[in-house]
Formats: sequence, C-alpha cells, structure tokens
Amino acid sequence: MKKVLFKIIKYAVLILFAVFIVYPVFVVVMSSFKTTAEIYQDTFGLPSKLNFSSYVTAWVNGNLSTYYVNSVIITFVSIFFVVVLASFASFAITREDCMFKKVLYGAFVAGISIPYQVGILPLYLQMSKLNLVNNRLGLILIYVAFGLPFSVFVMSGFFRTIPKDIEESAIIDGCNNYQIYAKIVVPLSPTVITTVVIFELVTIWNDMFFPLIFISSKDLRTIPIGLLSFKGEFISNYPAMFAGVVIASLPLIIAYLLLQKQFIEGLTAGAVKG
Amino acid sequence: MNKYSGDRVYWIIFIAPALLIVSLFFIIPVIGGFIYSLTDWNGLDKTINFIGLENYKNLILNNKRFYSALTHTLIFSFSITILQNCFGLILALVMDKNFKGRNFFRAVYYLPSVLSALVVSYAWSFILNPTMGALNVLFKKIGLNFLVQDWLGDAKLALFSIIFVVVWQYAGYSMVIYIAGLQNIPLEMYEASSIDGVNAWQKFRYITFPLLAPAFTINILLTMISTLKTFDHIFVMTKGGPGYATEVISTLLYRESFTNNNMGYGSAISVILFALITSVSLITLKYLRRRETAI
Repeated sequence: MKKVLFKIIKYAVLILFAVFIVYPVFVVVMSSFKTTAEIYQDTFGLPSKLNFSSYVTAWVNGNLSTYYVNSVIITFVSIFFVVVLASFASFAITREDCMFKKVLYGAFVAGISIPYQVGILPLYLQMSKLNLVNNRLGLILIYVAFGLPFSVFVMSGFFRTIPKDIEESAIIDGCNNYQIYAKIVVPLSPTVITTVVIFELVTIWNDMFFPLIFISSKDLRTIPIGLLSFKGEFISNYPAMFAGVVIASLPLIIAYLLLQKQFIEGLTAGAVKG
Repeated sequence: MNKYSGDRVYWIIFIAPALLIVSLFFIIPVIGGFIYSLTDWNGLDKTINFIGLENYKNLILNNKRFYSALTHTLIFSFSITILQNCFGLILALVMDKNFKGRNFFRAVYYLPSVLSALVVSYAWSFILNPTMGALNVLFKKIGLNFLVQDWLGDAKLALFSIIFVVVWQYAGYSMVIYIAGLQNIPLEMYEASSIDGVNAWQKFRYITFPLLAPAFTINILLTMISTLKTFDHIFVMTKGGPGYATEVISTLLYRESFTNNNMGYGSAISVILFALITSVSLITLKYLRRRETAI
C-alpha cells in the first residue's frame, strides 16, 4: 500500500514538472495560431481555428525566409570547417612525431576557458579592417575560431584512445600519414564527430551575440537576430512573432526528438567546456 | 628510427589552418583586449594614449554602475547555481531508477536546453506580461491578487524573474549530468548498506551525496561560469532595465563598447569579467576537488 502511494506521488510530481516545462512551449505554439484579438481576449483559450496566416506574415513580411537561408548557410559551413580543421589539428597533436604537441594542445585548450566577450572589441576592429564586418564569411570565421578549441579538446581526447597497433599495421602496409588520417582515424570516429556536430549545431544556430555585433544589414541577419528585430517590427503582433519563434526552433526540436540520445550526449560533452 | 613513412612535417600541414584561424580571430583579439584596456582610446580617434591602470582604477574606485552590475552578476550567478543544482539533483534522484516512462520524462525535462535563449526569453516575457500574461491572469482568476506583479518591469523583481527563467531552461541539463554521476555509483554500496539496515536518508547522506562529488564539481563549475557571462536572456527580456536593475557585467560591457564607443573602458570591463570567471572557477575547483579527494 505504501509502495503504491509512493508511486502515485512520484508520477504526480513527474507529470506536474513535465507540464511546467511544456506549458511555455504550448503557449507559444497556440499563440502562433491565434488572431491578435484572441490573444488579448483570452490568454488561456485555444485558437478558434488553425490559422496559418501568421506563419505567412513571419515568413514573407518578416523576412524570415532570408534569415533562414543565412542561418542554414552560416551554420552548416561553419560546422563543416570546424569538424575538418579540428580533426586535422587533433590528428597532428596526437601523433608521436609531432613537435611541440603539448604546447599546441595547450594553446587550443586554453581557448575553452576564455569567455567569448574578452576580445570582442579588438576582434570587431580587426574584422572591420579586413572588410569582414557585415559579412557571412566573417561570421563563419568567428564561429570556426570559437568552435575549434572545444572541438580539438574532444576530438584529440578520442583520437588518443585509438589503439596504436592499428596505425602501425597500416604503416607496414605502406600507408602514409594522410592515408592513416583518411582511411583509419576518420572512419573510426563517427561518435566523436556527431558530438562535435551537435554541439556546434545548437551553439551556432542559437547564437545571438556575434550576429548582434557583426551583422547590421537586414539581408544578412541570421534567425535569432531576425527574431530580435521582430519585436520592433511587429509591435503587439504576437501571433507573427510566435510563428517566427516556432519556425526558428522547429528544426532543432525535430532533430532533438529524432536523435535524443546523441543530443544529450553531445551537449553534455559540452559540459567540460567552460 | 623514423617509423613513419614519408615526411615528418606533415603535422604542420594538418595543424596550420586551425592554428591560423584560432590565432587570428580568437587569441590575438584577446591579447588586444588586455592591451586596449591600458589605453584611453575611444575606438575612433587616431590618438591613443597609454594610461596604465587608469581604466581599472576608475572602474573599481568610482563607478557606481560597474558596482551595481557586479553585484547583480554575483546575485544572478549565485542564485542560479544553487537553484539549478538543487532542482537538477532532485530530478536526477527521482529519475535514477528505471521505471516506465523514464526516457519520456528525461526528454521533456531536457528539451529547453536545446532551445535558444532568445526563444525561451520571448515565451516567458509573454507569460510574465503584467496585463495579459498567463501568470497574472491565473493569479487574478484564483483570487491571489497580491501576487499580480509586473514581473519584468518592477526593479525589485526583474532580476529574480530572469533567474527563474534561466533555471527553468537549464535544470534538465544539470539533471542529465547528475544522472550520469548517479549511475557511476556501484550498486553494491547500496546493497551492502541495506543489509546494515540503513534508512533512505542515511543512504543519501553517506553514500549518494559523497560519491556524487565529481558530478557536483562539474555541474557547479559549469553553472557558475555560464551564468557569470550570461548576456542573451537579460538582453532580450529587460535589456538591463528597468533603469539599471538587471544590468550585469556582460550587458554593461556591450553598452560601453558598442553604444558608448568606450574602447579602453569596455576592454577593462571585459578583462575584469575574465579575471572574475577565472578566479571564481579556480577557487571553486580547488575547494570541490579537495572535497572529492577527501572522500
């Protein structure tokens, strides 16, 4: 009897907390389907019908289609270069004949503990000298630079666990260093690559800070910064704003629901990142 | 003997691109930040004077706004660290044992961690809206009128409302780390204690809590570091206001640097933020590690 009661209480607590977590998400989705009048009249009411017009407003009038393209390009190109360059660097750092490997490793890992705000002003000046302010390439270079320390840390940690025998037999078979990288190390690393990809995906897709500083023209905005401007453009048009929020979050939520285990592992590996 | 065939300097080719990008766009600007903090440059003029520690002296000796930002940052960081870890730990303890629906609940609790700070801040700004927000409407309906407040617009409440939102978003994140920690505790420990007739509280106090030390270290450190530099939530929900009631170091840094064009000053603030984060993490790490080894 006591056990059953305990079980009921436990589930009640779990469900209550789940409601507490889901409710804000639910409010956003419902509000995106309401009309502005419905929002002001009844906060708790459901929309009278599934009204997609706010999605059209956000996508077309709100320019979200442009922001989407920018976010997709910037996120994926940055992730690609982070993964490629981090795996190159980690491969070198974990090889025995790499000189200064401790120094190089230290240089990358030191970056993990430095908050991104510290060099922001000199970075801005430098970027404007190089004509990289208000420029997609500029933002990509920044994301790659800030993504590398953590990725090198995670990847070199994994590369060290690859047994040396495998490499040695490859050398006997006549593989050179480039072939060892491409044919042995990379094919053994899908897990660690997934970790880096997911971590960078969530970080870059959601980042607001760098585009806030480095992007000024409307055509180059990424989604977060585009949504930030919604507040001014759609004053009190909450449905359009929330439709934008839904469109912005949907890809990550879907990816999360499909790859839950990898997401939790990938982001928790980020736990070591300061 | 060189057991590797071919060139020995292949590693330069492998490491150069990453090193170049990190140096150019990360390390050099950080060093630049330290140097600029010693000057009076406004970021535009041709003249730049070396003024030593003048910027720091001004900040530390006679800048009320810096002090209030520092105080808010510490309150913010401290409260979130405590609350998020309490909730994360409680959730982890409930979720530790296998039961029906465990993965479902874990997925739900973790969900907000995947969302952007901006999205979360928008959703909660709406719920906390003084007139039409769900929270106040609910309080009015059930007759708790004294709880109807301007959650983000009242200088006394705004900081705590933001603290609440951040804890809401990341409690699930701490939970996952604690669950991993709990699963590292050998089951035999509990079994042995059951034979000795130890009760649930004693089990927690003498087995779970001490053996969870590594998870504590990482979780506390992580929450502290990320909250000391929080920018997004505050910038979206209150922009540091009302007045300066929710101004923290990172929003002050942003304002001084990019709105007031105060290059040397902004750099000095960023260096102080860096020093604050580094010293707080080192002290905490030292204390918590000692606790880990003591056990």
